[in-house]
Amino acid sequence: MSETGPMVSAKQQDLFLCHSCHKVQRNNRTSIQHCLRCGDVLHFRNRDSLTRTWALCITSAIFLVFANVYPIMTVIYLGKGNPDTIISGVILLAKHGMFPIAAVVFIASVAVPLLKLASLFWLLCLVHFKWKMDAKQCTKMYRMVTFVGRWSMLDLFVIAMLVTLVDLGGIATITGGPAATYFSTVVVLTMFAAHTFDPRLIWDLQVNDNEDENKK
Amino acid sequence: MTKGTNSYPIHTITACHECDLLLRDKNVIRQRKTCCPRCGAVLHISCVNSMERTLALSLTGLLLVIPANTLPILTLELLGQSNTNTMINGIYQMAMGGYWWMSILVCFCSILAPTIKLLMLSFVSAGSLYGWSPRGIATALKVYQNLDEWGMFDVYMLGILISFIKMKDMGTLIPGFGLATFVALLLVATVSSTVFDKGLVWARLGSGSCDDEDVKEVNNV
Repeated sequence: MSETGPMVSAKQQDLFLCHSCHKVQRNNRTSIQHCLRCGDVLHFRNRDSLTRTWALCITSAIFLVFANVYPIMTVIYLGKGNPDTIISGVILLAKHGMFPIAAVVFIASVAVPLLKLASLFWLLCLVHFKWKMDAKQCTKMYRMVTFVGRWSMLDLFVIAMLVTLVDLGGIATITGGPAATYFSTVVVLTMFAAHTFDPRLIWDLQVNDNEDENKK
Repeated sequence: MTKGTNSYPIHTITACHECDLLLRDKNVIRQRKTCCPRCGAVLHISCVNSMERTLALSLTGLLLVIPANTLPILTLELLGQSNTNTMINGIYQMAMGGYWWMSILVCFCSILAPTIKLLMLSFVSAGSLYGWSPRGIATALKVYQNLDEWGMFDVYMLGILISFIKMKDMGTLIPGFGLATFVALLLVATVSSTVFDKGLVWARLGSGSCDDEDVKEVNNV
């Protein structure tokens, strides 16, 4: 693919791609330019992409700690029961022999948020410190992050259902815990972070590399 | 891949939204699926009779919304007592328990966002078929695009399965009629957003003015 030399991006040709309707149009050098077709404000890249994504990622990392420290759900069955954190809930499921469910819950509420934040931090560092990496692989990672993010809501939906199903007074009750609030905040913030990060920044690094080589 | 040597009118070129590669647009509408040659992002998927199908499916979905939200999904029977879960009362119960933020979020992702998505889809497809005001269609389509990943029927379905398996040892679980309508709603909503061709709607909304410019150095798909 690279035998024809560096590939041309829209930005290099001074062309805008509208974020909403994907129409290509010429930069007419006014301070604020609107899309001819849908009227949205045009930008070459997401506005303040790196700053906003850094802020959202750091905030959600802090909230993720609280989400794992505090109990997320309390199951009281015939008068007995303790508050469970996310991880102790997974361990409890595994102890009862429900391995497939334990695996699903573990993936959705422990592995996905952690890996998602880690990959976002990785991508941020990559663009920030201009690391040389395979841009295609990094774009694939970004796509995984955006695809997988919404599945973390799973645990919250399960809690919402169990709270109403198991509300049998003295026999059995399930109530939520403070971690549910923190965890839902993490899910929302990481979804926003994935949205504000602009994958085109990864490809811009390559363009800059090629320009540097040409100068030499 | 070759780099084009001629120049092309600006309305025949497009750019990849994930890597900003400038591309010729000649095949984008005609082919079933077009991917960016550099980063592999899906640029466009087309579908036969996209607007008619989307309209039919999204209206079906809207009919299913109320029964799916209000009819019982699961009922738990334990020692002579029983409790019924619907999508709405789960949210209500959480809000009563003091978890405002979480119940707003669950309400938004499992009821509001998917329903607004269906509404917008039916408006956009009907508007595009019958030639309604382009401005309204553009606004509705933008709302749909922004809400796209916040509609979480599929995640909710997995949530129902998980709570079913978690609770099945505790007492007797009876799936209700709400579950059947919810599954139907999930299928209809998923298929309607798959057959929906937003590139076609944007193309029909016209291209604005200033289309006479030429652009040099374009990559071929």
